[in-house]
Amino acid sequence: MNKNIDKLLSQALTPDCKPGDLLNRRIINQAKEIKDMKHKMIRAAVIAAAFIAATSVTAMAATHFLKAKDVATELEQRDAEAAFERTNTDSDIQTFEQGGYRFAFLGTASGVEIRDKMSDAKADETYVIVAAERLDGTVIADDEEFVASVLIQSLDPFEYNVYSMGGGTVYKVIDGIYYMIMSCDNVEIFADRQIYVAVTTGPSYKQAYHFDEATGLISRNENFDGINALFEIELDAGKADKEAQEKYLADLGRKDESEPIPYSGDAGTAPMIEYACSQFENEEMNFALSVDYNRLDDQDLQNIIELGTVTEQESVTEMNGQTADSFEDGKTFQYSMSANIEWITMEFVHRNGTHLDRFVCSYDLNQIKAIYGYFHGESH
Amino acid sequence: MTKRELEIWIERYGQDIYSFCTHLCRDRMEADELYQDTWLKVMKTIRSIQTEQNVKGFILSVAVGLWKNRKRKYAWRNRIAPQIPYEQDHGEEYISDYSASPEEEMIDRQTKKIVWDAVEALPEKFRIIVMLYYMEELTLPQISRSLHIPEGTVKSRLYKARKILEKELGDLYE
Repeated sequence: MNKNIDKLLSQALTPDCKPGDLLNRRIINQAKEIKDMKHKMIRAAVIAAAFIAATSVTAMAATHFLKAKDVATELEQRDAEAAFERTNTDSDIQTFEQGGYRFAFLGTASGVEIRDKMSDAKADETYVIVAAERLDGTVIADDEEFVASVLIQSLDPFEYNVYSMGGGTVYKVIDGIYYMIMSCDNVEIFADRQIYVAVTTGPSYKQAYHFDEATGLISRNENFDGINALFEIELDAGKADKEAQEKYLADLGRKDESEPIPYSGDAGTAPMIEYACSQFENEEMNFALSVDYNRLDDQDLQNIIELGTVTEQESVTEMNGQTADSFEDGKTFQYSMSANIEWITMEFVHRNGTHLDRFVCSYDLNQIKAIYGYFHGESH
Repeated sequence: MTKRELEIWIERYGQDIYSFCTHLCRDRMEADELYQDTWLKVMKTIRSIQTEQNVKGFILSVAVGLWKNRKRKYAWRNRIAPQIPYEQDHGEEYISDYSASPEEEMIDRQTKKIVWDAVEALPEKFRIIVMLYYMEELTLPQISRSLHIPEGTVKSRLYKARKILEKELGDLYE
């Protein structure tokens, strides 16, 4: 290796930017505030614990929450704003209290009927707006995040949720209240079924909700250790479309069945999860996945892979789950996995005839949601 | 972690971390935000750091993690609301500890700019490793731990990055 390049890089790449004194002061002050808030939160949590068991959905007058359209305006979501222009926001809103939070379902709307006012990509989407506030009146912190999802009667929440139905979300804390706009594929076509809005802190639909296969009804798992709000919402049954339902579900099914292309390579160019449904169980995560090897040239994909390759086990727990999957062409793709609340590690073994590739990937669990939503939406 | 401890760490590592954030984000406002969030997260997770560990490596690891998180969120949110991509910004507040004539200093600044331009044009997986190795002076095992990737991968990427930079910057030292 040419030593000159080493010397040049060492000389040129020096830490040459200094943070401003004001910036450093702000950080120190904020750190102090966080510390103070932690103390308050511990006390508040003790008080709130007594009420956690007594959770139920109630209706209340829409008082201090912003109206749905105003949320869209505040979050600068013009399409959603247009969609909520026509909705009645003066009626009572549903609220649900759990874990020291009050969640409020503020409204749902679709752009189907105002297609001319919407961008093409957004006209066939359903919007849901949800708010969350702390019961003790303290401000929602920046790192607290919730996920809203539409769930549909007779469709297993584990398979059909915001992650699989083209979902996306934006949020903003306004006056200490967390407002979130979730968008997904238009669900008005399912208006002849019971439609739900679930609020969780992650993709834990399997554990958080009961799915009654006989009736198709979905309910909260009262024993779930986490946030699992559930609102029942009413859509105009006249918009139900059986034919469109069948087509949509068939299309969604095809996405799941896309067959991976064999891959040979080292961990540095490992493939990315194309489809993932996940569930938490005792802080473990299980994945149903297929893998798309087609997009390895995609820089974003490589960036995400970048955060994954792991051989050292110090940042993950020991292996605690194993499974395997087979594909019709005789190639076998096995994976085993381990995860704690922060990381998931997957060890892949790919057999193709006599050839065998093995590599290990690890993903920051907090990023799985975003990764999944991004690629799922783009890949078809 | 006490306020005083945080002050000491910021004093000791602030410039290193801020430079890294600035070159990572290539946008001063984004860098300020990342720098701030990095320290606040470090403060929240401080119990997990042992004093004998490489503190700087840990903080840089937090910065990389937060930055990648942001990129995901950006991509995720972009589906609803396309945002303006950040622009490259070679700030004017670079520090020069180079005690030389104005002419020499200008040449030095120009050289640095050329090198940084070449580094910033690298694929991200190479760029981060180059920055951690040359600018932050982390060792290969430290980079491996900070990025949660095998040491062999670090070596391989550093080698490839050097090859690219040799080709790009050959005129500067030959």
